Amino acid sequence: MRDILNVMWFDFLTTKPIILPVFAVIAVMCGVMGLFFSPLMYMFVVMAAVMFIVPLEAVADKSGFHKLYGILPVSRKNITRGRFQFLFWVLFIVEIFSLLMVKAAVMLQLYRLLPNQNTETMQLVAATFNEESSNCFSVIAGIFVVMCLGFAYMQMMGQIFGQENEMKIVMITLAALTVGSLAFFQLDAVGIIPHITFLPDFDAMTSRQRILYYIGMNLATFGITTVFGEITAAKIAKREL
Amino acid sequence: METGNILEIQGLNKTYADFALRDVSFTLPRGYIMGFVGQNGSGKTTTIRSVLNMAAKDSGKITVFGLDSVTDSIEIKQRLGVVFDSLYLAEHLNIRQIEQQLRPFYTNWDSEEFFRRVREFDLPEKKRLGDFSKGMKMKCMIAIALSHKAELMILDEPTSGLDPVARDELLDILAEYIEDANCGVLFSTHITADVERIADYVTILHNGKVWYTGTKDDLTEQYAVLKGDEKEIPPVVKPKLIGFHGYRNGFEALIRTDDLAGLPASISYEKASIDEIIVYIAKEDKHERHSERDVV
Repeated sequence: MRDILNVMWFDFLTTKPIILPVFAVIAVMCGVMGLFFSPLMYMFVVMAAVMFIVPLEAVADKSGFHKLYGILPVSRKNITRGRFQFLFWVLFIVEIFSLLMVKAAVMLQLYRLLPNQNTETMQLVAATFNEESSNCFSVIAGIFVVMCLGFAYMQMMGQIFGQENEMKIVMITLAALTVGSLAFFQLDAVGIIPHITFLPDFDAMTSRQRILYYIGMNLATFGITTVFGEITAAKIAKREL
Repeated sequence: METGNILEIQGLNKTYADFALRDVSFTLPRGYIMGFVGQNGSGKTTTIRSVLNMAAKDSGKITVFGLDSVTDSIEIKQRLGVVFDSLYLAEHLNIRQIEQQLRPFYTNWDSEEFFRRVREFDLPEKKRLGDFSKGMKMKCMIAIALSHKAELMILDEPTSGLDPVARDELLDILAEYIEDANCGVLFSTHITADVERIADYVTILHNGKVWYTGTKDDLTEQYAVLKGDEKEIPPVVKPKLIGFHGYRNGFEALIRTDDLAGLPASISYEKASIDEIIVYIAKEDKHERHSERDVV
């Protein structure tokens, strides 16, 4: 466990000097705009958090980290596990921060301080601060899940099949997803398969049910990311550095 | 003080598509520096990668500090310092950030010692590592190795590409390090002058096989370079010549000093340097003895 934490800290320190200033600017801009114009702005903070993960492979390649991984007193499996945990926890912490900011924005209703409250635009702004209808929480949580699983999947495929094949993997995955989705919706439309509702009716849920749903969704994301990490670690553990 | 061998390699075999290490065996006692020499592609780096468990060996046994290089790899790496020919750290970070990154991995990490070494080596603490000279990068890797109290230092071609001053400084650092009789250094290079200067032991690798392993003094005493007229070589000596090179006015070849008896006075000889030994081994391999007049 300590080794995995050390690898996560190592990865964070690797990208921090490159990304933290840019991320801080985005977070502050979205933070202010979220307080005054729309809590939905906080979804961009979650999206921006992937910037901490994206440069890792390029830095590792450029800096010869394969040699470093060979001399550090930590197993190859834990290096891989640490990378996947870093991916999850960075996005998760930013997700929680964003959800808290949404809550604060909805409670503070700072848009009221803006001029021209009676205009159509300001009424649209006001609507996004209505917690019941905005579904900001669901959007942000959904973006977190998609980003986390998407990047974990890409990380897994990239490490197993090589970063140079990343574009091929993206194309094949997108093609498979498109074909799968089209087939599913077609079968659903003609009634061959029973209708499945992927998203629950959030408006009908109590606050407690919503919180439990979000916790379940985050736990599932953590579990899948960890499984991706384990598969990758098992596949590449014996590979030479 | 512990005694015995700090590194033992027995019967190491490793096969790639175009290269193989064959039955590589040697030992490094504590308190000594071993020069690990050979031509480019002779297998030095593959051997080092096998010691570090970065390459999976086909067969053989490697023990470091008496521990198995595969099953006890993590414990070994806590006590091992490694310097490669190129930097393995994030080049956009500075020394302080690198220290923050590596410190948690080592149980024996000493930050004070690290920054003392950084100051001693005149390394700028706030400059990006990517802007360091090759010599500074090398010193940075040595500072890291010394900061977790490495008992064995493995250096893979550390002096290649260094200017003479930086090379000299590096060798001084190693000489100071080995004053602690509990430590050891395995120093791979093809610059044999460095080995002549600081090594106590030498292992020569040639085409994936150990050609010589033992003390440096034994090596240079065991071989001599012969020069003279080719016609005066006694027939019984001819098969014992290594890397024979005949030319218009004479010949040159390497010979074991044990085989010098019976040579005529007109054939001169002198002690072979490690460089000469490696060159003659390579010539022997290319069958240069047959290249000029096909006589020997």
